[in-house]
Amino acid sequence: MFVQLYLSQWREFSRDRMALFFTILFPLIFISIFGLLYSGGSKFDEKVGIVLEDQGPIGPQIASAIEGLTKTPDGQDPDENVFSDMKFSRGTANELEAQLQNGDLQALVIIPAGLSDSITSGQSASVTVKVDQTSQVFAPFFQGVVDNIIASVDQNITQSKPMLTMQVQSVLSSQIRGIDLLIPGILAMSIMQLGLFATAQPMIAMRTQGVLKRFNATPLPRWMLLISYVAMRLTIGLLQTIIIIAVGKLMFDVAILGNIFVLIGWLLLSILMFIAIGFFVAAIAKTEESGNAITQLINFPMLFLSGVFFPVTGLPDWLQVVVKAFPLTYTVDALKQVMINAPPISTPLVNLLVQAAWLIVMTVLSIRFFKWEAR
Amino acid sequence: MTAIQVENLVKIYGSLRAVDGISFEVAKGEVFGMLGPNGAGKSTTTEMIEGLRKPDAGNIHVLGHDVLKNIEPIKQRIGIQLQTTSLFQKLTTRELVKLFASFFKNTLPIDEVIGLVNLEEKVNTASKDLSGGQRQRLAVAIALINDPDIIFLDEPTTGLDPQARRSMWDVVSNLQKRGKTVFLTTHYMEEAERLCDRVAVVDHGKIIALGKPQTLIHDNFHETALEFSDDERLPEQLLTSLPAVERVQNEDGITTLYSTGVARTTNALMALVEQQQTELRGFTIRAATLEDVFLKLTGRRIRD
Repeated sequence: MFVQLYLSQWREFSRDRMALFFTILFPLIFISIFGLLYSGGSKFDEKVGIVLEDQGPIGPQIASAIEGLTKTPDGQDPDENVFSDMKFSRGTANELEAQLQNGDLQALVIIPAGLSDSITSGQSASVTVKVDQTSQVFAPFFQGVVDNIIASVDQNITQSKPMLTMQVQSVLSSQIRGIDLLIPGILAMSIMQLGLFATAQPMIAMRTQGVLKRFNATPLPRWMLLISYVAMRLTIGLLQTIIIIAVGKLMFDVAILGNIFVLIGWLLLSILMFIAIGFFVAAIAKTEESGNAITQLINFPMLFLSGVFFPVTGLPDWLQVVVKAFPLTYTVDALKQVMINAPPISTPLVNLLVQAAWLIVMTVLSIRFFKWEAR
Repeated sequence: MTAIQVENLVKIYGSLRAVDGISFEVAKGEVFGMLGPNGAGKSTTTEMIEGLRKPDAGNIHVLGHDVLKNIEPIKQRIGIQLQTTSLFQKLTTRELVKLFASFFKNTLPIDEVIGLVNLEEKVNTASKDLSGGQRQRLAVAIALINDPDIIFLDEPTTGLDPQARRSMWDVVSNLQKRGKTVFLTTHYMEEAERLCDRVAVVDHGKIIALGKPQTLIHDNFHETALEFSDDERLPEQLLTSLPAVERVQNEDGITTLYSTGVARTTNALMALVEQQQTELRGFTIRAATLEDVFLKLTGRRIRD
């Protein structure tokens, strides 16, 4: 029963050229296009100005940590450090802002006076990063990196461990290239689209066309149908993963730095979460058309704002709040962390809890609202 | 022995009593038909018997089991063809039959079932590439895969061309020969007359006549029907007063005279036509059919 159901769905899927295109070929096309754009030794060669007004000990730490981005840790190839060609200059706020205005600088970091005093007296203080928004790849990326440096400085102060440089280097040791960032993002995108397009749409079609009703008229238990349906989607998801990782490895030498079993764990969680979201869409959509609309409504914002193509740290604050609610943000973050040791946005525990919460809530709502029959 | 027993079945949709107190029994080995226009409650009744819909009132027993309380043993022993069945589009005939075979404990060989509906040449054709008639026969093949005691066919020939319809009739006749109980719905009176041992004529959720097709016709008509249309509309009281005319029915521009003496009525009618200086179109003399029964009981024709 299970085997026949599973085989039938596999045949239905593998004979559907559109489904094959969107689940397998589409991500590969993305990887190829962006891979070619990002790779080929295209490093960041932007000029960054640093204004150090702080007289205390913490400001200079931050400044030198940022300047230290160009240094490559021992034993690693400088060619793989995307920041090694960057130029840094120091100066006063007035002159450097003028340079940023006329395009001589692409970013400016201002470490304000009194920063050290504020922090040591337990008050909050902030470092300002101004970026030339025309450099679309660099600007959000650099902002993200500075955020991480400051976070690690923060951490060091609160834990009173003077290991700032080590911390910064661990951020750097990943030697992230554009394509490295892209592969986990594309993987996350494929998983989301598996949940939306390959889970919700066929289920709605099966209901509106009466296939579910026909199954209902046989002794086939519903749980058996659901299990085979989910198992089939898991298979497609893992297949996509293998293909994307293999292509990343073969074409662009993107290696998996983290533990492979941890990666598989994250993948399973994300796939199940998006299948649950897919089921929820199938539960609330009455027709194939409305299902389509809901799917796109979920797909597009998440696709462009969850860090698939550029880091979420570059987004304006109000949008960050929205982005923090997207499940894909956490999928992308978790996959980037485990695959390329990317600087974290959320801790693994937060990623785990948020995705598990989405999985559980969506499953419960799907069970509550799912209809087996049209009308 | 009773295959299906239905008592006072009621189904209400909003303010519409789609099925309004239907009762009947179907014996084992019988071909039983529900005949009625679209929206009469045939499909709703069928789906309640199949366990796909919950009735608002009434009792249903199939093969001795209560459908409302114990559907699982029934599902193993009935075969269902829904009014519209669309299946996995890209699977072939054989793959689909095999899939459904896996849901049942006891099944017939897949090739035998495909042979029963004459789809041998289409075993490797994807279901989306089958014609309407072939798809209906595939749906019947799937309904037969568990060698069911009762087969439900909901409008098996609706939308089919005459040749595909005959082909489906052959399939049903073969089922009858194999001793199967067949429960079918249709709005084609010819189909009901030809296939069914007994017919329940339904309208507005109620059974308005129940019995063997020939008995129903004889009980309602010892007359012969004379049918014609005329442009001028001959006055009804003149038609009623023609010799041997029992009843006159006017529907959709077609006038039907039910006559106990064809020769006398015809002669008088022709004289009347001449006297009124009008013309008759499509004048036919025929035996009464279930259509006439329906017309007499409801004042409407079955089709639309």
